[in-house]
Amino acid sequence: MNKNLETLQNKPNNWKAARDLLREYREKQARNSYEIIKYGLPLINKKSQKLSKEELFEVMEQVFLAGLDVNIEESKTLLLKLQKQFPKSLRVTKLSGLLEEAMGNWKSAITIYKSILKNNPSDQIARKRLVCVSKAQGDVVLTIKNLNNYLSHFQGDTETWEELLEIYLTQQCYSKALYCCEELILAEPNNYQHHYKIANIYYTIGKRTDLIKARQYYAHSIKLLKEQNLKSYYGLYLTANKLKSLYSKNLDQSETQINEQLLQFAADKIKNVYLKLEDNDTKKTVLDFFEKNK
Amino acid sequence: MSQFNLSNSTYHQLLLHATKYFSEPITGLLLGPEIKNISSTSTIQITNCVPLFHSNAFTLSSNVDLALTLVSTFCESNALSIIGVYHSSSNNNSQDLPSPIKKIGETINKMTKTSVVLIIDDQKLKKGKEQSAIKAYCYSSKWINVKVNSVSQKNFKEGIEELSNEENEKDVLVIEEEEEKEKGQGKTKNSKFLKNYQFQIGDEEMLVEKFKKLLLEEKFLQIVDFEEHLKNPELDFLTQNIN
Repeated sequence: MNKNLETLQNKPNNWKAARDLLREYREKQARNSYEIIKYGLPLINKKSQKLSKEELFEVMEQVFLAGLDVNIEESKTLLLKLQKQFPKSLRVTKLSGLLEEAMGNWKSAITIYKSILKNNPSDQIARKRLVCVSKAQGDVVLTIKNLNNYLSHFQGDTETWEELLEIYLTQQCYSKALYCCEELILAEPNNYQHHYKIANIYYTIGKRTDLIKARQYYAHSIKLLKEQNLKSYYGLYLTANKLKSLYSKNLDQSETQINEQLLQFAADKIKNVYLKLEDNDTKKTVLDFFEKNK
Repeated sequence: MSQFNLSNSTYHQLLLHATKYFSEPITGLLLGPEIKNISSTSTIQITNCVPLFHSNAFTLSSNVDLALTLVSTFCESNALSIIGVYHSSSNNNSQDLPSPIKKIGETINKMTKTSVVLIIDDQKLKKGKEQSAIKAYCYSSKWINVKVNSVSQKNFKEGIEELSNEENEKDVLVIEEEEEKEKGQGKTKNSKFLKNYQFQIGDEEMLVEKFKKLLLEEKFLQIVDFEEHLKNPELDFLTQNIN
């Protein structure tokens, strides 16, 4: 468990641990809103003098964002403080837009973002928030249109390609999802996550050539990250297994051998991961499964 | 009449899963004691749940296949079977029953001849309203919304007999199925039969009270789902140690 979290559970008033935890979350851009409010609010309200001015306002922004999820009244209070401190700030205006979004006031939010774009036409965040509003309103067609429009101006924005990928998956447009994944791989070829994601999509489409592609991408993902990549090993195992059970007649001698080797490789690696762990239901189930499916 | 009974602890666990990942769509499986010969008059208990995903992973069959395989193995050694799937989308406005969830439900139906899909309707979780937050769907050649009946605590176990005696036709959707096979085999018996579905949960007020307690005790932070397990294999996703 997270060191800072552990400290805070035993000593909830330890402001240093709270400050360090929030720093960690800021770095990772983690959305652990409940914990951020729980440990961040006392930090702002009681120990603000312990933080540098710069850090204090960063924490206030962070707690504001967390409050949009968990405690919107706190966010309103924080926004007023930030607006007082930074009266004509673009950054704070964006936060006010987020508050409107969180309250469901779509028209006000759109007005705020459009006015930002009038004076700052290249502002990416305001553009993205407009897309988020259409997503929150449930308008899938408009959201896809907006995302594609955004990407036509900013092709390198991987965050947006990921967003578009997710929407295509929920609509089961697998070929379009593949295209998004390919763009992600082009932009970040050494990111094992993108190879893992594209492998998942090929597996889902599921024909023989797709399964072989899936197997290749899972293998590549493993090559990029050999440890702490359990999900890719599972993917490799499942794909090799599916090829074996569904298409063994269509595979020639050497292909069958390769498939079998990959199957064994994945199975052994997964078993080794679990053997090092303490006993629990999951460990027992996984080892049982491999016992039954030798 | 096919009767589904959802245990209180399962109801709370799936809501806790939804609470932990409030900004994401969540999916999980529903388990219950194994029934050897499921018939149209079985009472099916849902006693456990296994949280699986807190992302769009449910749309991809690689993740779903893996989860179903591992959970089936778990069920075999614990005299359980997979009864259904629960889901909650991150967006209030999105369609009720997403097609990947229907597919999962249909796969489960093939495996265990019975399947229910629970959709968490977070609009019903508003303050001041003591009501259950789920919608139930049962499968009979297509997915049909079944009313969730809340039965008072003392009647929960006996509720089965109570409801079967009452005339609840306005609550229960009646589906008629034609047994064409029987016709072909020359049986002269009436070939139509009625299939009723009932879905029961415990007393709504008590459920909400208990849920509030669990939230104050921060129990939702202890939920571990399958995705979490893949990141940290030492965490156990098959048994949640809550309640």
